[in-house]
Amino acid sequence: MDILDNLVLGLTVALSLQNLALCFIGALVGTLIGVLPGLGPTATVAMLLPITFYLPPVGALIMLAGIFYGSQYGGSTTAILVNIPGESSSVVSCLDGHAMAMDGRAGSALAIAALASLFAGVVTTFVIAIAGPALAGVALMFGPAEYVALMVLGLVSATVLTHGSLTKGIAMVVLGILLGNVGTDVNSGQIRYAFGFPQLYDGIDFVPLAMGLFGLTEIVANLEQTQGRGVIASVINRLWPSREDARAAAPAAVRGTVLGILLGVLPGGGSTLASFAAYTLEKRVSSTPEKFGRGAVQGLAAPEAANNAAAQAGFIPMLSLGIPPNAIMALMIGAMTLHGIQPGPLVMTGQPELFWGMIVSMLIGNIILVVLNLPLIGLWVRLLKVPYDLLFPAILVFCCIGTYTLRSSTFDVAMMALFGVVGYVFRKLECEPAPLLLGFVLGPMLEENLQRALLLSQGDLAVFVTRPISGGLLAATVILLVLVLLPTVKRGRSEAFRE
Amino acid sequence: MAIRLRSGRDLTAGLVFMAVGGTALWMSSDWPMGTLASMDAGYFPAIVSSLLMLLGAGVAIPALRFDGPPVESFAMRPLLLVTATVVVFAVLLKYAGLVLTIAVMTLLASFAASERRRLLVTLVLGLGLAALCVGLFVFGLGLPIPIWPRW
Repeated sequence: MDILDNLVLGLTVALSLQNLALCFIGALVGTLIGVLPGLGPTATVAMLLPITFYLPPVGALIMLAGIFYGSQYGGSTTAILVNIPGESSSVVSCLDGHAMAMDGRAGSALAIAALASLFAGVVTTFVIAIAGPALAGVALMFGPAEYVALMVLGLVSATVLTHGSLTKGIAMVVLGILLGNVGTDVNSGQIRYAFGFPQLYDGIDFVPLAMGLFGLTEIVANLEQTQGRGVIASVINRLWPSREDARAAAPAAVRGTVLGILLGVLPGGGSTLASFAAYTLEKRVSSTPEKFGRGAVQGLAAPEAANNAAAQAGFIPMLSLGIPPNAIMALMIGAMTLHGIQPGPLVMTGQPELFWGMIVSMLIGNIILVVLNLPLIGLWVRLLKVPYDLLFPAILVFCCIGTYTLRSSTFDVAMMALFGVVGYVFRKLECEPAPLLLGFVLGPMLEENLQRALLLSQGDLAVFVTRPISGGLLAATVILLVLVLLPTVKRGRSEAFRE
Repeated sequence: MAIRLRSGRDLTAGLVFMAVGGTALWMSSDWPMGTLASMDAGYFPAIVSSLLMLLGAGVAIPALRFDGPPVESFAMRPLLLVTATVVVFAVLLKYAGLVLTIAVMTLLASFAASERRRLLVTLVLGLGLAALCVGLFVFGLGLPIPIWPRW
């Protein structure tokens, strides 16, 4: 069977000693940083991106993927033990997870979170293995017009599903596209928006942008919040959940996984939305909703499964279409371009070892995480006690060195400082940086495909509507926008995000 | 009639978008436009920056009519100090080398924290961090970073 052959190929790649080691290190480092409060997966991946620059492409992506789900996992650990979500997608895990820990069931809570995540990770990996190639097959039929329509749909829905004002979100996307225009125009050789800096002739580099917007801004914001972090050292007695806990958690994990995959594929969906949605769903279907928030096992298992499933399902559009559904996948695309890989449907056929190696390594990485984390929990708790004022200078130094070494350019470090300030200002103006990053990554692709589509149609704009796939995608975009602007849905959306 | 500021935050955001879009549009007018069928360097930036201006207006105008929160105050001290710390790296590294640069950076960064530590602690932290970075990045990964000052 085809998939089986491919999985075997992936297995040989992922099980090579080097890749196994990189997967392990990625998961370990990711968890290490994910445990630190205030550093979410996006910031973590952005900061560690430069390290992987010196690795072969497959190894680099395997390690980045490891860092990504490691940091996600680390976030849940702190949520359960000390009620501090390491990142936004584990906010819900605080509710029942921490309640369980206070109830003396900390070990059980950690194990359920780990096992639910593992289950979701394994299922999602198989979904990627099946859906990825199918989607890539469809994508091979895409012409430039279809790509334009797809990117428009992706960018619009990414802003619809993230919280905050819709207009501001789209404006941030457009601003990102504009930033992507900086540098030499590939067709005409015209230099655009370089302000006389020769360092900008190749465009703004992705790493200083991402690190400034996410890393530096996050550090300043953390320093701004002065309230102390209360650490509750829960005693961990037994790790395995009781039989009744396990029985209650299993169906919830399955529901969470399905919901997570569905929401993860959607642009802008991502793990935060998935975990919130899964929690709400569990509360609805439960016969004892009053137990939620007081240590209900389902309230922990479902969101944990959902956020992991969503996080990994994001790889489907990223790998098969080259379109990132969220900021982290945009970072992954950035990493691929750094290694000279053009993300898109051709990766699967042209570099099967990359695609399948990465998929299988996710499977292995998920298992490593469980094996790694349960015994190391004591260490993570101790790490949480490192005061932030001793920690952040080190993070700053690492950010600088990371950006600098990419091109041995101090100019890039200065750019990072600039984008740190920009990111902070936008944060104060309630403008999300994630859409900007998506726009920045997709901008050059959008321009190229738009030009090509209109060249082929000899300037006839109707091409976007008359070609069935492209027209369908644009119609979906319009429907989405209309739906969001309807007053009833608008209210529901703000309520959903408040909950 | 005086216009009352209803939502300072959204108004500011909208004006920022409009200003950036306007500047970008003005700059793009220097470049050849081409036609819709064969776009030249100026076409796409012109569309995108016009769109940004429109969206900026879409954010700013409702802010004049509906109430909303003002711009939150900026935490100037951490913002400036964190930025300055990064700029120090950019300016100093090529002349002063990694060790001295990191020492200056940690010293500067320590002023950004809300609670201050003794100078000795900061210095030890800085030197320890420098040693770690030299070991990890220069010796370990073999990155071409100068360690000591260039005289």
